[in-house]
Amino acid sequence: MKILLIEDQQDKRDKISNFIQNEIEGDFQLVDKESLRGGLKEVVTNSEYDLILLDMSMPNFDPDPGINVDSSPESFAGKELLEQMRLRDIKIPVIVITQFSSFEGGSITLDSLSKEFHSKYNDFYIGSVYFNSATDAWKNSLSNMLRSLL
Amino acid sequence: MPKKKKKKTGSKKSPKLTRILRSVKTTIKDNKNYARRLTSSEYGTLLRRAYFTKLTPSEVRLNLPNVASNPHFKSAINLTQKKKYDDVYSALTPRTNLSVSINWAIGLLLYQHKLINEFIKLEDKITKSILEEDYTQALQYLDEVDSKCGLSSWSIGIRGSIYGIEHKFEESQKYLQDKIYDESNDNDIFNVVCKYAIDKYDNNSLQVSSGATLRNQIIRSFHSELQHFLIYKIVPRDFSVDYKINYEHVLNYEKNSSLIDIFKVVISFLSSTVDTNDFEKAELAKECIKHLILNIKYHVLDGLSSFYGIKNKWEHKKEDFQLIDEYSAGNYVNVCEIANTKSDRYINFTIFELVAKASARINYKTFNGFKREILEQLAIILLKSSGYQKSLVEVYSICHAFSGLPWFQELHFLISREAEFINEKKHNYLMKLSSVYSEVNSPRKSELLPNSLKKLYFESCNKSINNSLSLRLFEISEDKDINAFKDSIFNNLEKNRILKYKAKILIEIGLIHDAIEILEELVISNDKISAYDGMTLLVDSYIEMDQGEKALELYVTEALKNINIALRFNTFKICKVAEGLIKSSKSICVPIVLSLYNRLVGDDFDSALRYSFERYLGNIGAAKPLDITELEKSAGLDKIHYFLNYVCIPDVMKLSFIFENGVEIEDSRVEICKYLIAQNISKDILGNEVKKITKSQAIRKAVKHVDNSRIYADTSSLRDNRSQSYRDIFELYVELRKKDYSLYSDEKTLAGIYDSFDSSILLPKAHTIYIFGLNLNEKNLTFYKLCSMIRDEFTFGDKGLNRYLSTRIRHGVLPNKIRDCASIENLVTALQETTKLPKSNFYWKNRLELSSPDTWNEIDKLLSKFTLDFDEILNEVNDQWLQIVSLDQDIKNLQKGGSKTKALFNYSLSLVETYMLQRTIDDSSDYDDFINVALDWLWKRTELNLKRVKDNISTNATNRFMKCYDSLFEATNKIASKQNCITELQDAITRSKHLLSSTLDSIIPWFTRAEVDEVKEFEISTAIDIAARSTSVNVNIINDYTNQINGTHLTSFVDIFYILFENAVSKSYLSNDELIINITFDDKDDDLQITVENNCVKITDSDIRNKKLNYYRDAYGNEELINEVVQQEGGTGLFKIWKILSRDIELEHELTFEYINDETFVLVIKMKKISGILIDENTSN
Repeated sequence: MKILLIEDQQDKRDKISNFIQNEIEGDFQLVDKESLRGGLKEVVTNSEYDLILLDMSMPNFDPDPGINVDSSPESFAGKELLEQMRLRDIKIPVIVITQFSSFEGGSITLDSLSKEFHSKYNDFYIGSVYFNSATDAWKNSLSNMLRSLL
Repeated sequence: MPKKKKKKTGSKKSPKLTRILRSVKTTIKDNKNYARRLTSSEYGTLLRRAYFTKLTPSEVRLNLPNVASNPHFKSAINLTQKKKYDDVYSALTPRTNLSVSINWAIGLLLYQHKLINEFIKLEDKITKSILEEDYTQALQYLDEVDSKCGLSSWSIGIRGSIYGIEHKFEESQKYLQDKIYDESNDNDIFNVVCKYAIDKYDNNSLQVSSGATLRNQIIRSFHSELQHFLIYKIVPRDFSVDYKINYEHVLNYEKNSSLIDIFKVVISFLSSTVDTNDFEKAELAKECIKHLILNIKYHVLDGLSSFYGIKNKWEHKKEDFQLIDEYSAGNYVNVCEIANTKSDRYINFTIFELVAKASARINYKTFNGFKREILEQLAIILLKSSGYQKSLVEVYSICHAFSGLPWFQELHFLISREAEFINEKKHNYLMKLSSVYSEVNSPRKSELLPNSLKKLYFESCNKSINNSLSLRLFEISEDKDINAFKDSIFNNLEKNRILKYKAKILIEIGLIHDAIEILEELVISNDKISAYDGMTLLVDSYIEMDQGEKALELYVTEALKNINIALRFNTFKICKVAEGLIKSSKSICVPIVLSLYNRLVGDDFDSALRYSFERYLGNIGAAKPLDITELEKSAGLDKIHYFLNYVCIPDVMKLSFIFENGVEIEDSRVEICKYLIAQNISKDILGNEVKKITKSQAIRKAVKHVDNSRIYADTSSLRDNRSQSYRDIFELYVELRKKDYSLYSDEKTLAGIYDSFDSSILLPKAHTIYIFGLNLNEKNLTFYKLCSMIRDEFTFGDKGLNRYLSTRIRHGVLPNKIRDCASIENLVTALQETTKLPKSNFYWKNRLELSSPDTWNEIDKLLSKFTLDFDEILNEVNDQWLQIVSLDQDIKNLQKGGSKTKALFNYSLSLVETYMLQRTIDDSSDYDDFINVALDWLWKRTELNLKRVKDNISTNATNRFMKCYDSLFEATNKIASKQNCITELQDAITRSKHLLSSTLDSIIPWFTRAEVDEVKEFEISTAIDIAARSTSVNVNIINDYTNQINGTHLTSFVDIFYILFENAVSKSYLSNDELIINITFDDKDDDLQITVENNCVKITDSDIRNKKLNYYRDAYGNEELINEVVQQEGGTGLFKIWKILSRDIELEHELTFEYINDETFVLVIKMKKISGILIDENTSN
């Protein structure tokens, strides 16, 4: 199984990566990317992925202190990637893992966003996981989604 | 004779009601909890609660007359008729669901139906008086309404707008003070509502243009009930916004207001249901309408009852039909003349609309006064002609000012439809509202009636009116009978109208190809309104026939010809077509369509726009954006320029793989800007963009230090293409500040405060100074609103402070960092999903290996409590402190109902503060100067906020966390006496405590302003380099000047050299490759002389040319003249340099310039006391 993890925070990336290693039995390959552009390029050029684990907020460009233009995370970068996949007819299953329980000052909840994703990206969006290191709920939730795929 | 048995009616007290009211008494008597005797008010509250909770909704309505004389219900029924306003919007009645609230309101309206019917007549008279500009009469009618029905925010709104139109500013404020503030006993919500009501009209349309700012503030700051109520009451209505008013929330306030406001909210709720998909809500509305029409005669209720199929009898006026028929026949002069003969009488809106459309077509001046003013503005809107945006905002403003009157609501529906198609659903909603509100039972009304009523409706029309052209037209449209046009009656129908209706019928019956043929004729008509109708139908028809590219081509061509018509089309549908064409199309219109949507509507198609940019270039085989300049013949120059200017922007290009990285994207944009500048397109704005990019690139190369700060706001939208709305308001302010306002009371008060204090002391505190009841004159109000909008962009804009606060700190980053201090020692455990209580700490259970399970349970409880306490502090810091609150002064005092009471980023504005800012900018300041001042002020506010955050983290949060650790440690101490082995746990607690302490110290520097695009100091060569790259010129620096200049002046020096290099390019008549610029520095004592020398095309008359330059030499330094010309474009470069050096940098200087020979121009700037702007290496100052 080949998994693409698109996540800019090292700490969160490690936690997800460790969890995946424990969760998936057998061989699997985990590739990570840290930006929207990096993730999109990987998705566009490499169609062999079985699953994408996608953060919602991340920078546009890969970190490169020498030439970086804007390294601040975009709130809806994950949504942009989903939309680009739809426009380009790329249908690799995607699970969104985000630390935001709500967006735009609380006016959009993760649940409502997930509903929107289900209706828009029905053929490749699996679901959203609310990542909060204070609870294990994200692990259960991600585990259930992975099981539905395996 | 036996007495007739009385029919049971609602007025007879029902046994159930009696039982309920009695049960309250019994409950109190029997309940031991009521140890003391209840006050009358407490008893009343219980009675009313019982009434509203134990009766069914219809019983609530029916029983209202039975409790009307009950002293505990009197206030809730008489409302403001008692002329006391301290309990308006308070809990006269309990909070209930929509059905109960609306039934209570209906009961009240029916109980007071005589008053309501009188009000309706008076409302009609008020409308007529306003339209006829008889404001004295209108005010008298308003007095009559107030005296009969009690004061209402409705009447205050109309009164305030009349005062506003008559420029009776002081009078309206006096009314507010005497009638409201003095009588309301500090009723905050009522005061706020009245303040906004009385200020509804403003000459400069500020209420409307800043409506979105106000709406967003309310959404961000108030809980849902108050939020919906405030948006309903004080925010200008905007049909393009996706915000559905929740009438349950609104009614929970409004049912405790006034009779008239209750009537208005009921009509508003009922009207809102014409669009609902909620079956229950529609049924509730139907029920309400059925009850109301029995006793209340109101044309909107008639319209609603027709819409819902309740009503099946209509009245039709012959004179209305005659006019409609004249219009249909294209006899526009007749329409206008007939209207003119009636101009002294009331004209209902449906007829007014027809007259407007007729007069716009033939440029016929109809009516006088206010009606004429509206008509003229409406003509501009309908024709989409020059001044369109201004007219649109002005008419919106009038609609808002008189939004309480149905006539102006109908005007609002019309211009909302004209301004923006939005989407099918909203367009149809507006059509339905227009139909429901129309007083004329016209043929058009048939379109929106339920199918079951249509036949009956046409019969009704035919009975009253003989042989009506327009009636016949709608009949055949309904029957979709294309052959019926052969009927001789249609010989009279106007030719464009024939084309339009034929095409519509052909489309309906699926003969779209035939419809296209007709529409292609219609769109070239000289009758613009008909041509626009034709265009929208033609674009839709092309789409229907799968001719997407043709549809896009027509849309883009027309939109680029006249941007004002862009939103008249179904833009969403057009974008969907464009999206579908991205992969295959070679049409430049595909990305342009998506870009127009982004600029004019919203971000729904931003991703498609990014993809289309890349694919379009790929599809046409272009390697880079500027390659498309070779397609001038096939694509058209205007489309190419649009594509380069608005599609090829960094935000669109950022995902394209034709660029390797962000710098390549920036470089490409710079080249594009330079190309467009050379084509004379948006020179100033694009020039600024180039400077900004090159400056930021130069700084990124120069700055190597690691920046820990995470506080930033990208404010480029305040300066680039997106800044137009702010610029417009600033221009308005510039006009207003030319007038004298010194005698206005607010000006006196604010100037008094300003003059009494040292501004450096006052400014940091100014936002805390609240002056109650101070009402701003138009100049101060304009500036205040502008500051409020700038503040909102800074804090909550797309790339505002909140975004950085959210993504860089709040979401995950800070909580993880803090929590890790405890979790690394396993002191905290995850919460259980169901109970939300911490899981048992197995790590320490295994580690400690305690022999006694009781001791372990004790420790586990302590660790569990520690987890909860720790998380509570963490959540408070992260979720409550690190929030932004920004409220305008008028609604600031409602904040206690807000959701952000602990927010530490406070950007609420005070009138004193914005007045101080106003005084900071002088008469010569242009928009860019204002933005500099405003941003400087916002960053100062940010510094204050950051200090609060840092103080709170270093003291409040740190102390609470430490206390949390200490409590755990002390508690474990007690156990330690019994179990030695827990020393290990205590060591972990101590380590974690120290780690947290140092982590909090390391977090504090995050709350520092990030110095993106900022340098502490720079060498002058950096400024030259940036300006040279921005203008693509070759510059030789002959000798070095290595002193370090204060970083705050970098932009100023870039601007100076940019102006000089641009002048060199344009005045030398040489190509950039041929042009050579040499710069020499001469540093003597404390003076710096910069000599800029450039070659030029050989001239034969250097003496004459030098003489011609005398004008600039004489004017240079003449402040009055400079202030005048510096605002203009072209030929003002040298004066801008004067302004930068004298005003911004405050350097004494001299500037000389001349042709020193036939091929060389030299300019010398001699700056004195240069040390004032240098960095002193000894003091780092």
